Amino acid sequence: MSLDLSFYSWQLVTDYLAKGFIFSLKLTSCATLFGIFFGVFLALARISKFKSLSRSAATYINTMRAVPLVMLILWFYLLVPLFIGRPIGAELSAYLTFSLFEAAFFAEIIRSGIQALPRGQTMAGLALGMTYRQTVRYVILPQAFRHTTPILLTQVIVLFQDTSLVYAIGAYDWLKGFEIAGKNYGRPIEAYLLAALSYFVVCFALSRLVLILKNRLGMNGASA
Amino acid sequence: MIKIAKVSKWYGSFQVLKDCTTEIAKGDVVVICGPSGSGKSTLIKTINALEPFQSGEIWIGDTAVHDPRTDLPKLRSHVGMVFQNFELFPHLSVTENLTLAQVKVLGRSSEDARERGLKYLHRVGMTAHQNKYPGQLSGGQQQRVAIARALCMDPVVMLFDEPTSALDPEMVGEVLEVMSTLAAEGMTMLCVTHEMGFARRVSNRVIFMDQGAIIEDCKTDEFFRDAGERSPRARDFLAKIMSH
Amino acid sequence: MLRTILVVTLFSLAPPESYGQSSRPSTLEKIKETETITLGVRDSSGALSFTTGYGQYDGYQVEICRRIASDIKSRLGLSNLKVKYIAVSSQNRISLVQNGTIDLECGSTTNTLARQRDVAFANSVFIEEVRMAVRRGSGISSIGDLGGKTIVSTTGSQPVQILRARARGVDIEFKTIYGKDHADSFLLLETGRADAFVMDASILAGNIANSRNPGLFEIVGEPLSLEPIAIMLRRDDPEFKSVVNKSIESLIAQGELPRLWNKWFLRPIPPNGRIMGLQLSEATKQAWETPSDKPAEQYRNFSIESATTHQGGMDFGIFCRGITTGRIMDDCLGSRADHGDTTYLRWLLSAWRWTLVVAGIGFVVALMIGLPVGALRTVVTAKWLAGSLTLFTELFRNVPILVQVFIWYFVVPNFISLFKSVPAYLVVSLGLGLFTAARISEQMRAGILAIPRGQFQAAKALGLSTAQCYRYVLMPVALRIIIPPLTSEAMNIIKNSAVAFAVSVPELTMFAMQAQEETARGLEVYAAVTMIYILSALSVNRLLNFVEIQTRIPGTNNHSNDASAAKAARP
Repeated sequence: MSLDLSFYSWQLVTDYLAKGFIFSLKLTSCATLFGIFFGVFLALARISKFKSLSRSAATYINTMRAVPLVMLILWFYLLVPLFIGRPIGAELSAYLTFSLFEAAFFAEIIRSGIQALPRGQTMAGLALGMTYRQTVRYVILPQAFRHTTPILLTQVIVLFQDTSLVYAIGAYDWLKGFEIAGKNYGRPIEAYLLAALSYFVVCFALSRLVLILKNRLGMNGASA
Repeated sequence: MIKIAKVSKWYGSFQVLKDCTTEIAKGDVVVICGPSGSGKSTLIKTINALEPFQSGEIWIGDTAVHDPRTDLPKLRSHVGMVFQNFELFPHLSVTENLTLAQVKVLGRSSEDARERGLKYLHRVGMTAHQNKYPGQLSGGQQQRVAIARALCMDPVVMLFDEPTSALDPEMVGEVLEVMSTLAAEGMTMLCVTHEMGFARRVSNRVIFMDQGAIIEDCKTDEFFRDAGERSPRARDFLAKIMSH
Repeated sequence: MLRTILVVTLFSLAPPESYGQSSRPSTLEKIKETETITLGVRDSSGALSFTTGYGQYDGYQVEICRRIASDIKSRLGLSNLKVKYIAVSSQNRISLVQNGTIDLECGSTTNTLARQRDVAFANSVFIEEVRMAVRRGSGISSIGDLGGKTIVSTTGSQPVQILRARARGVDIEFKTIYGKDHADSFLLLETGRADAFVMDASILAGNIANSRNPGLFEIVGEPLSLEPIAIMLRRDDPEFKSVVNKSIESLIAQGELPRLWNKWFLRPIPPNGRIMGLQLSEATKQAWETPSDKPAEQYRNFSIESATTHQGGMDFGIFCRGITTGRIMDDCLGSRADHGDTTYLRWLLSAWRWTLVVAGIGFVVALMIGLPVGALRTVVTAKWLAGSLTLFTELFRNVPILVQVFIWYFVVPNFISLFKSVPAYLVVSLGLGLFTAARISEQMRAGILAIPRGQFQAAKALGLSTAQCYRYVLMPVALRIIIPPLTSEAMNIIKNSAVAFAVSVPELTMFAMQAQEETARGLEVYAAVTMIYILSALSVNRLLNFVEIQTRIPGTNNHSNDASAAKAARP
């Protein structure tokens, strides 16, 4: 069975794909920014000496990581309106879900980055008279971020792929764009092929960039 | 027995070995010394082809190490090597470390391999630890097991790459003792080491290397006694070492 | 982790506001205040409601809604009324009306008694007949021919339950699979994975008209039921409802409806000028003459009770209800006694089994492919081989798992017909497995590279060949090093199995969506499913922790001098 190549047109992009791609991008950026911001606090809470703080953080992180993202998406979409008494759109629900979800993953990455640093670093900071907060801000976090940037970026690429899951609540992301186009033109096969190719090109290019960044930071091949 | 002829090696554009030439006869106990970065470890690793080299020839008996057609695993099974970091296999017990290569490379039966393993284990004084795992042994103990492991293969020559450099001072002695006994029994040995006391007592030849080239290659007593006649770099090195 | 379960349980037991009964402003007030009316529309529901690209929607039902909107505009005396469109699905359309996200649902929703407990319906202007689409020449012409065949319908939609009731009536056994939306369901028919697609005739006609080769299909069979399709609106707002109905009345009075029917069902329509070819049925003509919001039950001569209940707060008893009869069954685990009717609980457990099967097979495939490939990548020097292994890994890592599953399920069978006969769950397992294999190969590679070079040299120095070095020295240590990331992957694959729902494997997520639609008890259903996912992930975690402890190398906990042992001890 051969492909109907007439399906592939520039009009396809403007009518169906651009809108979805932009949403996927926006969702990814929002979840990344919020995720890293909130993730730092989560990570610090997780390793804090106060048991209640670290346990709550751990519970949050473990819950987010144990439940399928699809289920979380469904949950938020159902629950948030019921609890706040107001309606909520699919897009807004997606932003919320992904931000909270990614925060857990970023928290784990940052946490392992912090814990990989020798304890001597914290001690040296304190010995110089800095407060714990200063030590974290000026000594620990910068190093942790430097070491974990490639892993964080890889997680962002995974996040971009995960945005395709918003189909569960009908939000219009990139994959949905391909799907709708395929169905309304009656050419689902061609559409899915194009989808796979497009995602591959974008994610592969990004992962190569991450590799270059890794090399620049001088970490390729070195074990932790 | 071992012929090294004009061996040169480059890492990219950096030359680490420059035209090294020497011969080792059966029964020789040769110490290779020199400042760090002089290429000593690299040279010793070219002998059993762990490090490839771009020009020159190395012969072990009738086997040409440099020949691409040579069966390298077979060659290596006759050459024993002891590493600076011991490199025992952590997931195998002491006995298993000793028998693995005997069974898989030399094709011995497990009983034979075990027997031989225990024999050499006894010679290095580690019989009591035969069922332990490397993680449960001290550095000195691990190195002695490593020596036994190499001996189990019945090698024609033993290569030592800084065998005591990673050890705490109080354990150096037990390893050197094993090596001395080995030498006394007539094993052909090539040793990269900083232990000059050992060199003086046990070796019969000293090779001094600096910046990839063999500078001195003479009998041990000549090297130490007639220090004045040695090259400036060798004298320099000796002066620094001997002050310890 | 126990804490986690506790939290989720407590969280879901908190009584929410009961559905749609808060004191909210009336719809007309809201529309007047926001000068916006929000219409819920479908992306591809035949000619009733669909998208023509770039956020534009059209269709018979949509146009009627737009007319209603303009009537409301004049009635409220607004100078501006913005019409907003929100795409809805079978799964979420009712919730969206209930929570006020949309004011009117203009898709293809059947008016039923059960749904009337959650939403209200305007008078119906389209009576749908539920029939079957089959491939021409398949020999199926009525429900009696369905014995032993595979039926497809769309999750969350009415025909699913109708079919079940009918099948019970005539004692026919057939297999049901679900498409996640209508086009998906049709694709399953098109690609041969299903023998008949049961759905509203207009949707069938639309999909056939749109397909590559319409002549290959036909609509057959007696109408399984007459379904009044009606616009959905908020339940507790009689004023709004009467306004909407008045609007519809005036459309009828002006003779607009036959014109609209011609426009949408008998003439070429966007986006590519296809013709639906659906004739006006008697039932619809009658509905125009005497408009009403009679529910489907009054059109039928059989009943399907829905399992919907309306006690406030949580009702976990839902799980003991039969899925066809809606009655509470004595044996909550659902014995086979009652003509094969079964409880939601039993369905849930079966769905769990499917999840584990798909994840399990997928993981095995992933290990069998990923581990060797990862090890190979550290040893091959031939550029072409190293390049292709890397390409394989990159290919499967950079395409979303959902897209990969679609490719294996829809695209590949197109080119390799062998795949058509592979059951859906195996296809998903394969896709999942390959996706995970790529990630596992990366971890294996990293694990091997983490072992100091000295180990490899020591092994070589003993005379072991490269293969022997890997087998006896490197792999045993590397495998232990990567147990933590492998544990992660095992937990991930359980979560990722959720995408199997998209290709109609009856696993947990599909259960969640379908059961939620059927019982309108989203909280309970989601809570149960989430609990099961967490439980499964936890168990896998424990299991692999146990494996890690059992295989731990003795002596890796002490402070040792051995550099490589110390490295091996670090996760």
